[in-house]
Amino acid sequence: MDAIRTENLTKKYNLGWGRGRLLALDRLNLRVREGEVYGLLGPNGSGKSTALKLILNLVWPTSGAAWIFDVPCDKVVSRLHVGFLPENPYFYRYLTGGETLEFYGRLCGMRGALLRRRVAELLEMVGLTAARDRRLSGYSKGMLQRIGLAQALVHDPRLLLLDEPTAGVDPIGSREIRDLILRLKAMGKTVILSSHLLAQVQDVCDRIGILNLGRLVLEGDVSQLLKDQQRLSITVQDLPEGARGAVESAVAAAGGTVVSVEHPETTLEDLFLKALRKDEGGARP
Amino acid sequence: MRGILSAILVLLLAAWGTLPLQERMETQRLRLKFGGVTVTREMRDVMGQGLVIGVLAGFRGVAADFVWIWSHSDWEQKRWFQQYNKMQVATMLQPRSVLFWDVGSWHMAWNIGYAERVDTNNYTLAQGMKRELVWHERGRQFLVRGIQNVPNRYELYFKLGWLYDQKFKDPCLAAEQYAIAAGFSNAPTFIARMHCRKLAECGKYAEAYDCWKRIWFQDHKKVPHLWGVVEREIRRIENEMDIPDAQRIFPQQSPKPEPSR
Amino acid sequence: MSGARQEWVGFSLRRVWAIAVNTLTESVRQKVYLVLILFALVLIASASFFSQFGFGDAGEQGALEQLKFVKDFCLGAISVFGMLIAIVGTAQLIPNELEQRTIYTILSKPVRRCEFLFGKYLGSALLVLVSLLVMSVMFGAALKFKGDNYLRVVRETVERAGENANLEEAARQTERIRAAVLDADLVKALLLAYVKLALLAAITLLVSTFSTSMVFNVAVALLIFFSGHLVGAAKERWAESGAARFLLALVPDLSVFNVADDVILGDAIPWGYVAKVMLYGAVYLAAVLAAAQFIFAEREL
Repeated sequence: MDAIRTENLTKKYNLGWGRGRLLALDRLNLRVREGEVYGLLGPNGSGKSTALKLILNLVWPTSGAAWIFDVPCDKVVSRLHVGFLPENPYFYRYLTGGETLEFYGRLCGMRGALLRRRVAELLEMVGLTAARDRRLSGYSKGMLQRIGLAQALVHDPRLLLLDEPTAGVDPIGSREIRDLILRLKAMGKTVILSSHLLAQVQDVCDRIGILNLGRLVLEGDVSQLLKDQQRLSITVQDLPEGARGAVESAVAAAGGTVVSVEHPETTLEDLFLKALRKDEGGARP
Repeated sequence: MRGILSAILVLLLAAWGTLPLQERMETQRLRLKFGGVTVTREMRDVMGQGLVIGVLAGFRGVAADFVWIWSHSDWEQKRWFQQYNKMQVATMLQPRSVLFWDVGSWHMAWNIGYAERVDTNNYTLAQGMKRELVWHERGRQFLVRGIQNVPNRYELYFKLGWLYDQKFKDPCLAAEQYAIAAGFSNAPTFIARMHCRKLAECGKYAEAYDCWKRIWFQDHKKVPHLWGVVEREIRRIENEMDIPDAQRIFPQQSPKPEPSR
Repeated sequence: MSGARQEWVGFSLRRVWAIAVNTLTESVRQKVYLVLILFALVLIASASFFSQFGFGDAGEQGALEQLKFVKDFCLGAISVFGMLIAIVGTAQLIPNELEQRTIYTILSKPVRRCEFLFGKYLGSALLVLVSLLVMSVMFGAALKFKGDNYLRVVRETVERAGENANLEEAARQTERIRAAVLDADLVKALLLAYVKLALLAAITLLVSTFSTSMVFNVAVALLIFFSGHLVGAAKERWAESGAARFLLALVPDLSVFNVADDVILGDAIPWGYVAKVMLYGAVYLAAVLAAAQFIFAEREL
């Protein structure tokens, strides 16, 4: 089953008297399969948030339609199996982490011992058990994002919509959120995340779609898309310095071209994380 | 668009649907004499803008109290007319406050009047006494207006009677007012006694005698009169009027009869 | 494992209540609210310590005068602070939800817009109720304290006079002071005051459904507050023209809720009148909330 299906989903915003309309989303045709992690990419203003809001019935389409697990989006029941993490959430500043999750649990019909257990579970899952009784006004950005994920998961939804889940979060927090997403995928959940932090999306998503000015300009499997079919990269170890010339000649003899020879780089993110881990002895509070 | 129109429609429906209910509330308010007062320009001059806003926001009582307390400072600084004006405004704001009419008239007829009489810095003795009489009259008119506004409380009738007695030296008018005051079920009993006494002072001995007899023949256990005083007055009137023994309640020869019932 | 049950999809009072309690908790924990309510309580308590303003000749007249002042002042304070809490407290509800993005987390779950709106309103109404109760208790204490003082003075006068004591007079004074303090109609005045505040909160909510500027919301609500009081006076002046009455009826007549002055003057408020006023308030309240829902349901977020 498709987790999300949209048909010619279009949204035009009125800009006020005589200023015309802004085309925020132009005939989006999207199919997200159940169980995959889909990345919705694009620059600011490309329609990513609009698409998510249309699916959640927070705004209404000018034309076209969308379905969640084959239930039309304008029905309240379509949101039974969806969890949403909005962009830059602040939540209720004067509630504690535990109270916040209890509130959302109550909204989803849970109570009593069942609710308390679920809240404890969620806090454990996102690593916020220690901060349970702290007011959200004292949470860092990373902690807020994690509480946000927890509230999106409170009713154990099959589908998660995450709008910029790692925006403003430090690399460690980012890594943890990405690990969480992978764990959710392993649990069989579908995740759609929208972001413009491309490197972070790369590790996590199975498929991506790129939006620009409201149109879907590119879509496909990450691994397929990123592969440069024209080039081959061979990583060599323990090669003596002198033998380099021989390898390059062999390539030239076979008809190829050596494009570049250099030491492979690790990413800055990996370097950063390794350094911190070494410093803290591996444990993160 | 549909939402805004529906919203306006439902508000209109509520507004006009409750019209009959509003009418009924209004008639009841008028009957119970609740509510509104218009602020005249004179009142506004005395009160100042801030208090006017307070009245418009529904805080009439607080505004009236303010003006009343404010008049107190005029009293301390001997600004009689300012005090007078403010007391007027207080009664205009809350015309059914017995307190304002009562204490206001007392200030006019007693305190201010006296103060002007003995104000030898500004007036000669003759002028002072004349001014005092004017203040007596002001106090009287104040009470009369008060009674028009609050006809269902004994206090103002009593005070008017007291005023006639003490300042106008007219026991007959005093007796009239005491009679009305005594007619209220919650009036203290001494007012009835004062009514009888003033009748006698007025020269209407027969009516006074009837008055005292009516008191005497009530249930002594239920009504808390000073029965010793009543008896003394009856005896005195009976002596004054030379009533034959047989018709007296307290005959001089025979022993005191038991009070009836 | 899912803790959810299938009956989610209907209108759920439980969800409304969850949102209401959430709103109440958030509001009560704000420093601004705590400062406001504390200030109100201090002000009300201080009423019983006012020294003799006014002409207070000692004795009954002075006592009644002072008790009137205390009642007028305290009920006035309760009215003003109640109004502040009702209007300012409600004006920020929806703007805050939008700013904090929490509205998205709620409406992205199977929660209906009307459940959200009514839940927010209920939370505000509860806030006003709690505030009013707390202030009323303090008012009752201040009044009783003052009344007890005067009763003590009466008793001491009697004791000092010894045999010459005028017991009848003392009993009467005691009775009058007691009646002024234990006036059951004060409760009616507070009840109607609450209904008025609940209506004001609803009106503020209505305004906030189409405007997200808190200043605008507060300003419009205050405007309606004042208009509502002037309607009564205006009706008297222009009662003749049917068209004028029609127009005036659009603004809720808030002066019908003000029975405090009359209670303090010693009038009894018949339950029939109270019932009429509450019915009027309820009808208007329902209409305002319905209007708010109509507008909010069409609002894109």
